[in-house]
Amino acid sequence: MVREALFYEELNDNTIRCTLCPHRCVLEDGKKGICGVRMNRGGVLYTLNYGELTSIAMDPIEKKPLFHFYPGTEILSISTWGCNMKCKFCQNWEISQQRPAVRRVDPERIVRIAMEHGSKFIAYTYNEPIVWFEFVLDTSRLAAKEGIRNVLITNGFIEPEPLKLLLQTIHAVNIDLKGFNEEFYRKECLGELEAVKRSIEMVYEAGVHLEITTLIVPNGNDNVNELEEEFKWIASIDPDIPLHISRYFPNYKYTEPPTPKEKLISIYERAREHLNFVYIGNLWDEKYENTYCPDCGELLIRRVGYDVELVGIDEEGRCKRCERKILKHL
Amino acid sequence: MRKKDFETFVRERRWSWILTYTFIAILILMVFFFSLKRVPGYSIKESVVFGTRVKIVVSSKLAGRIIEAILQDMRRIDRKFDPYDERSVIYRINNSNGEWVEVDNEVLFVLKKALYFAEITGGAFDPTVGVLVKLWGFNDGNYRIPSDEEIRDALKHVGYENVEISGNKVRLKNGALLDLGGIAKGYAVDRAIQIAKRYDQKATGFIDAGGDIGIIGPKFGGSDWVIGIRNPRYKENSDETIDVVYMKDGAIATSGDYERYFIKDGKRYHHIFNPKTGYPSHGIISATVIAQSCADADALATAIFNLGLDYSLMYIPRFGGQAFIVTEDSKIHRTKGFGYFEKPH
Ligand code: SF4
Ligand code: SF4
Repeated sequence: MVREALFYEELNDNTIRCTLCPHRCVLEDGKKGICGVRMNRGGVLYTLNYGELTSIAMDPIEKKPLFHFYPGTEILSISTWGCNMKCKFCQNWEISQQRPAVRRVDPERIVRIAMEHGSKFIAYTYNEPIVWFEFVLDTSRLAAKEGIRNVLITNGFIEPEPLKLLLQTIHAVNIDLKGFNEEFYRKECLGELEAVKRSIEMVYEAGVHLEITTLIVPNGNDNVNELEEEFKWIASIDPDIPLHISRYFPNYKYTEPPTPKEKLISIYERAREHLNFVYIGNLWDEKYENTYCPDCGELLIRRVGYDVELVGIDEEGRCKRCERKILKHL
Repeated sequence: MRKKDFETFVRERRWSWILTYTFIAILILMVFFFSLKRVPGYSIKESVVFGTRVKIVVSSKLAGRIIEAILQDMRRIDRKFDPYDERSVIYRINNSNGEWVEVDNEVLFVLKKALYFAEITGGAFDPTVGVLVKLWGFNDGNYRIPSDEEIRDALKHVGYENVEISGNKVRLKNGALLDLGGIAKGYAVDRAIQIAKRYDQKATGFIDAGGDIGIIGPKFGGSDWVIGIRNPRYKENSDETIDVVYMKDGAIATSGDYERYFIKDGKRYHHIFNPKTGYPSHGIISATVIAQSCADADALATAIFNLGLDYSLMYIPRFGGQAFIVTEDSKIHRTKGFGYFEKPH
């Protein structure tokens, strides 16, 4: 059902400005925003995807990816349609850039499904949960009351005020940081690097568990020196923030061949110079998915596919050998 | 050409035209009837549940079974949540002297929803007005105006903070009494939609339980349902409307001071109580809310009576609804977003 959006301001003559994401679309009567799911009708901003579900599944939490948040658990993952960015290499464009078949649900239903499946977690993922704001907010509030933890997998392209509100009931976030190049962000993704950086800082400061993913796009954002700036910047916030370097595959409007393995490994090695926990996704090589103690090198968590084994971690989340703190949530 | 031949010719021509036209007309009619056959027909059934008229309109191959299942489920919910039926779980909670009572998931669900709305509306919606309902005689129709002292006493037992939930147990403190009436009815409508969809994903239609309406699916699979909002000051049992809305999904609920009331010394006393004053709330005579679910719409419509006009117009959209409100002076007010539903799409 259409529902009034929470964040917008009235300008004049039924023209309004959406204040949910940094696009801050100015919309005349009858117009939709860049995301395609927010629309001005008679001077009121409506969301068009409230309660519209495009997929629902139980996934390993590692698949989100989240590697340092309750490793080895299963998480109910849901998504709708629409996205406020337009990445030419989007890996989920079937639901981010068009409206597929949907199922209607309400927040209670989602919470009940999670409980019936014994899932203590709900992930808002696949497309972009920011443009599902009201539904994510309502569902996460209800879920939190039932002791369920909420996880946001997002591009981080959101204004500070709505992010602050949402973070009150979100327990973990994985933000896609699509490189460290403002031009790449604008041209290939229709986003803004600075806004995403601001979100990352806000999530960290709110004390919400944070991991970062960077998809390495050949001839796009794959300059190692440029990426090093990203790694340094993350390390300046906290070198313990887990970073997932993800392998790109041709998709949507981007036809470059997949990221070469060697490239990923050299980026990984550069990242490790600054960050304590770096992983490579979509390479399926155990070596780059395991967690090792940054102090003593002990193997702590073994990941083979989605098989997860906590081998070197004690109940407090510390390295069994040298007692270095590794996990806050397990 | 001679004149006679010409007339014959014209007459014959006319005949052939008439024949052609008749043929085309028959063809059009055939196409019409053929297409009529493909439009799904609606099965309609009316009954009385929750002490009110319930109307079920369904189009589906399984319409008969769906209607039966819905009615059965509504009666079940009615019995289960009726605070004055000794077999009901609400009766048990209300009469347990503050002891913990174990309840099932369904009761927990409805109760938590009620408490959620109580919380976000700052108590404008309150599921513990049961003591007031009884005091004013709305439970059995023995209406009376209690004394100020009686009301003051009753108010000590009112307040949603008196409801405690722990795991699957519920207890009431301070002699509070639960009355989940409206929200349970809304919940029954939401369930009815689920039941229809479980039988047949493609089912369309709607359910109207005394002004709590939930849409199963758009009319003929694609059009809006046109729903009238009742004029709160029209003659008893009439259907005169003051507005119409167009809906393909979602729910709409209207609460009015005309639903249950008595008149004493020219003054109207109705069934929606202000949990702060202990008197029927005044200022608003009818409130309609459109929301995602019928339970939400019902709770918000009730809350409006106590939130008052200004707060309602400001906050109902934040709570996920759109509102249409009639005040005592017969003026109509609406949240800005309500306009969306006043036009067909
Ligand atoms: S959420 Fe959508 S409508 Fe709002 S500013 Fe962003 S792109 Fe524009
Ligand atoms: S932000 Fe994510 S979902 Fe949106 S277009 Fe980019 S890759 Fe696709």
